[in-house]
Amino acid sequence: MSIKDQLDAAAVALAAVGSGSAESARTFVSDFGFKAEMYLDEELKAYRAFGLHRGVSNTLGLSSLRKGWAALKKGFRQGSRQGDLWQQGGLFVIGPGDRLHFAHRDRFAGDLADLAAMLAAAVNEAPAGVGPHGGAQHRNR
Amino acid sequence: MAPERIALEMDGLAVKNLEGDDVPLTSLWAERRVVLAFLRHFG
Repeated sequence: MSIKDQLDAAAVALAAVGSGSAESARTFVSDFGFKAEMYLDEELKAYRAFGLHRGVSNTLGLSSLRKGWAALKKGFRQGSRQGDLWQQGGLFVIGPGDRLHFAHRDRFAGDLADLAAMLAAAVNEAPAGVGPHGGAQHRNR
Repeated sequence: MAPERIALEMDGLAVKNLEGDDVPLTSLWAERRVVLAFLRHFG
């Protein structure tokens, strides 16, 4: 079962934020078959609010740059499959409300989030069937 | 471990949907759980 299917089963939404134009976002959606909500943050305010890194000045050095580039090329060669969907600025699991369940911020291209950990955080006591104020508040029992 | 909380500075920030309308950032998770993916910018 794909990640999207597992999120659907747990009634967890999937939304992507991009920094490009609406046209490039539409192209992205059609190219990747990305069945998610798509939003644009052209001024990068949301990116900054989430503390996401920007630009090569933030990379950790030449070795990580090489590693990132290798992953990038590999991702492109794979074409529009699921793997390269996740080469992004960051990945978060939030809500309902202001609870942050998972956070990953890319440090360089190809610095991928731990999708298994993300998925576990997303579907763990997910809000499905719990009611609007249920969810994670009882997770520590 | 109790989950972290999203910072209050998110209030007032908005993103745009593909129709060009402003959508408050916090509305994406106010009443549901969401996996929010920030896409890497290649251009």
